[in-house]
Amino acid sequence: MKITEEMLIAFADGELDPKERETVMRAVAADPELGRKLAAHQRLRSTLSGHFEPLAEEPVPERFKALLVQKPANGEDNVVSLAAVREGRKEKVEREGRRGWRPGWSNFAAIAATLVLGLAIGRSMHDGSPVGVSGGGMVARGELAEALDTRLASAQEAGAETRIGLTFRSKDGDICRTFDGSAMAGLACREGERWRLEQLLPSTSAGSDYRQASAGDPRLAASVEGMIVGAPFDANAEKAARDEGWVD
Amino acid sequence: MAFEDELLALLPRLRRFAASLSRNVADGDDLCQAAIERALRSRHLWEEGSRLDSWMYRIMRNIWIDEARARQRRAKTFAPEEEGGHVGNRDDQRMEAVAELSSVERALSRLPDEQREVIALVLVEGLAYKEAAEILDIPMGTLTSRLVRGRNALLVELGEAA
Repeated sequence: MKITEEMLIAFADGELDPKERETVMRAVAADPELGRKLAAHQRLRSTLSGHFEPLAEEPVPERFKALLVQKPANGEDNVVSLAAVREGRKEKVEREGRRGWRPGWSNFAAIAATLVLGLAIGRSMHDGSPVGVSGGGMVARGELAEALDTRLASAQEAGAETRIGLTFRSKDGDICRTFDGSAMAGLACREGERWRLEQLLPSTSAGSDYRQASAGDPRLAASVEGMIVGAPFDANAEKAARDEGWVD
Repeated sequence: MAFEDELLALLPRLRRFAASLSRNVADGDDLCQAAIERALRSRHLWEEGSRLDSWMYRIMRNIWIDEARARQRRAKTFAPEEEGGHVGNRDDQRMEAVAELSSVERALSRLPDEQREVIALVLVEGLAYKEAAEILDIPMGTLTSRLVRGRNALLVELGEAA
């Protein structure tokens, strides 16, 4: 199928549904030129959002606040609500600080860029491969699938083959989890009985030249940031979701 | 939440949008101030419960378009204002911000207004195509074709830097 430039750009802007995303990802994996174009559009998006983002994180100039505070609505005491708003903002900053990510717009930026790895693994797959191809998409298999099925981030053994990072609900309504294994790290979303692999990165232990590919990897974090609805699951929500078989 | 409080909470995003439409942060803040003033004057027109951010983006964009047209009229009469003429009297932090924005700003400033506003809403503000099209009151097809042209022009301008 021919991928139009509109589709490629819509992919970079996070506008495609999972099926369309998959179509683009497969076309990109097969055509390096398409891959370069997509990467350029993804970089453009992060360049622009990255350049203006610091401004949105700066404190708002007093003159703007003054405009809004000197005009109380219906005689309400706005000083109190202003303090509340400030407090809210402070909390928000702290919350985001704790998560360790900047609010980003490079949504799906990392996905296609790292897809090639997954495809390479997919092509050379054998029975022991953690990645299989099913219905045209990549799915987790073997130990990886089992870890995604059963493991809780809140109760992991130190020597586990695959560690689970975040569990969260995606905009498409699926439950998704990040993981870090001996060969690769990534992001998988539940689809029926399987885990559809949305992103794969070389793991920490795959080679010292690679950046650490855990849930803290900026590329994974950017994908999570682009897909997540609400907050990541806490230990209780994670356990409840597992006990219900990761269905909605 | 009171109208003012909601607006206050939106200010960081509004400043960012204003800067991405304007030549620099200082011009953006002037635009931002004008938008706040207009919003306060016409707050009775805002439908409670509807999205204040979309409403504010729309107000800001309309002021910017009006000013851009006035600027074009002036440019036909007078010599163009010197680039970065306002930068000198800003503090260090602002200077840094201006320097940081410059290559992107230059590339953006060369875009036609109709492409620039689309780029600002989608790439800088991170809005969905549908939201951006509603704010600009244009069909989706128009939005995507402007986006494609704007994105490609920026890639050419920014080259490797993008």
